[in-house]
Amino acid sequence: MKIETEHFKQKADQAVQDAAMQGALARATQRFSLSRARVFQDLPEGEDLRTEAHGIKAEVMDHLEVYLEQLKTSAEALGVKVFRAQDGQAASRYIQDLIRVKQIKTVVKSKSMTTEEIDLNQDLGRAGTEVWETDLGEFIIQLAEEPPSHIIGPAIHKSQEEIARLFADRLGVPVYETPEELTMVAREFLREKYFQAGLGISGANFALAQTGTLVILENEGNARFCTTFPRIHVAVMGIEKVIPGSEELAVFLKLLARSATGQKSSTYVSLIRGPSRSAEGDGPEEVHLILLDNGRSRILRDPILRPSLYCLRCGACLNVCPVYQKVGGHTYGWAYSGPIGALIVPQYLGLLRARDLPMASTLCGACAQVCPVRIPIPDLLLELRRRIQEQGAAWGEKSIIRFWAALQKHPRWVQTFFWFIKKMAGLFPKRFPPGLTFPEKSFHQWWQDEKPD
Amino acid sequence: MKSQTDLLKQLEQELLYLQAKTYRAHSPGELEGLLDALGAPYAPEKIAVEDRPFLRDLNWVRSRTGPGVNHRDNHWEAVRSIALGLTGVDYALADTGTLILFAGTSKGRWVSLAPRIHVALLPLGRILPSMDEFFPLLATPDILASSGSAVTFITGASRTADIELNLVMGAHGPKELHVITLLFPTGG
Repeated sequence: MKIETEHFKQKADQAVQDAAMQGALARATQRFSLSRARVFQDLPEGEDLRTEAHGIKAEVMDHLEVYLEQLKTSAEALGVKVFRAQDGQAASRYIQDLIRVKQIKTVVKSKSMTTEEIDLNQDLGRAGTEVWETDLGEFIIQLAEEPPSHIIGPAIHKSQEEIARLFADRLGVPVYETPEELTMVAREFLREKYFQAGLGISGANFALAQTGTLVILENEGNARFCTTFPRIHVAVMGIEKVIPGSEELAVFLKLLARSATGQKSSTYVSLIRGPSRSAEGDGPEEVHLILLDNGRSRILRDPILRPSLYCLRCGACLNVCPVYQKVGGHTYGWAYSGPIGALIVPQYLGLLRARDLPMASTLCGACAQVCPVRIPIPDLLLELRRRIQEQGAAWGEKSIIRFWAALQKHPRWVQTFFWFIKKMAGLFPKRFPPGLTFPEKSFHQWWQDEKPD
Repeated sequence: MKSQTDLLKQLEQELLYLQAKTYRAHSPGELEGLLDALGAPYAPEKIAVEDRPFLRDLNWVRSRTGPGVNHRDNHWEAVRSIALGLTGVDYALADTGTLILFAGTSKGRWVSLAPRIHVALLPLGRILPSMDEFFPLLATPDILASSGSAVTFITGASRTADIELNLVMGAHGPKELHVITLLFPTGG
């Protein structure tokens, strides 16, 4: 995926003119948010569960290396091949080697934000492998050659008519008119691919350190196909997704689907414990787990920004964000959008490369109120803004900020400064915006005169 | 604590909400009748059954279904043509309407995934209140060993809302889920 985070402002200017996109986003995000609110009411543990989830993530991040080693040991005991990839290139190379050695021609993939992040499809495509995204939304944007616009609904910005024309153009089918027909086109087309594919690639929502279990949530069944039919299954997972065991998994399973789509449970939750055993009728002969770092351990070393790694990728913060709803996912210029994108993209790509993203927030705090793991997103965005200013502000900008900071420490200087501004406005009215008026007295003066004794 | 019957009621309510169909079989005879009705439109070679002892012993399975399909042996054509998959259920969770299937006991994960219709037979005693009761069970050595390489939670039939938020059933997996609860002893 091309990184276009530098063009946030231009893209935002265009996006705010796009009424159709905003309409689609408004419908989707409102639906998700309302369902989320409703389904949280039925949760016996209520919002306290989010505090518990936060605590679990904090504990894991404090001892991440211990949990990763435990995961490696227990997964290997189940027959899983575990590979720790320092970056996207290393992960991609590992998969390409596997494809070459096993002479694989076709790969099926289930939805994974992590593989979007490392641009895996492009790499494999360049190497001549046929790669198919199998989640319906991902399949649509793959055919359209677009990045996802929402973590949970990658194609929510696309209208049914656009999709119908896209399928007709790319797959040679008639222009269908109902969502049912279009879904069936994808179902039939991809089913053949599951049968042909030698390799299935998935993400993983969680991995249990104690038992080596990989956990994958989905609604369509495509991830089950990708992890059952091809002879080899490769799961690509960010190192931050490890959790201790099934007790903690229960907490996250109760939160994740509720936060993402407002379901009590995703339709399918697959707990994968290594390759298929001999007495079983199907399932992969090999399972590989790629533990991807790609900048995560750098974030881990930063005690202030570390909670950024708690994210479950549920998309709830996108659904309540007033900025995301107006500019849409593509404006953010990379795999992750919305409040969580504004928070993690600059940390992955470099503060200055994505310097506009942390500014794209009103700091209203709605994201923090729905986050299932209670990441204090607005606080962390402020911290990023501070660091960006330190690193990257121009000399002039820095001087103004220093002057302002000094001024604020001395009430008398503030009074003098505004007295001066007011005088200047009186002397040179044309230099100031029309309609700008100053009250007779400053608040300070007014208070001096009026305050009760 | 809730009785099994209360749990069943809760489970059925959740399944209804998920657009699954629920049935109760009070006797083996009733079960055969329900399977006859559900399987009537399909020729024996269009029906696949999981390889579980209890299912093997059903008259209906012996008389109305074709030879077993094992996709390891390159039976793609057969998998493609199957319309109805009949499976057992290892556990169910009442609070979410979830069916849990073990790869170890089912001996074929595809039967609950690839056919257009999934019919699941659930022994009443296997309904648990929630996953908080399931996970400690799964941690016991016997059950863990029988679970095999995959434990699958199934909550309703396959679905998507990726096209303008329209709910479409049968995205990749089954379009219909039918759950028959067995109210008689099944010996396993």
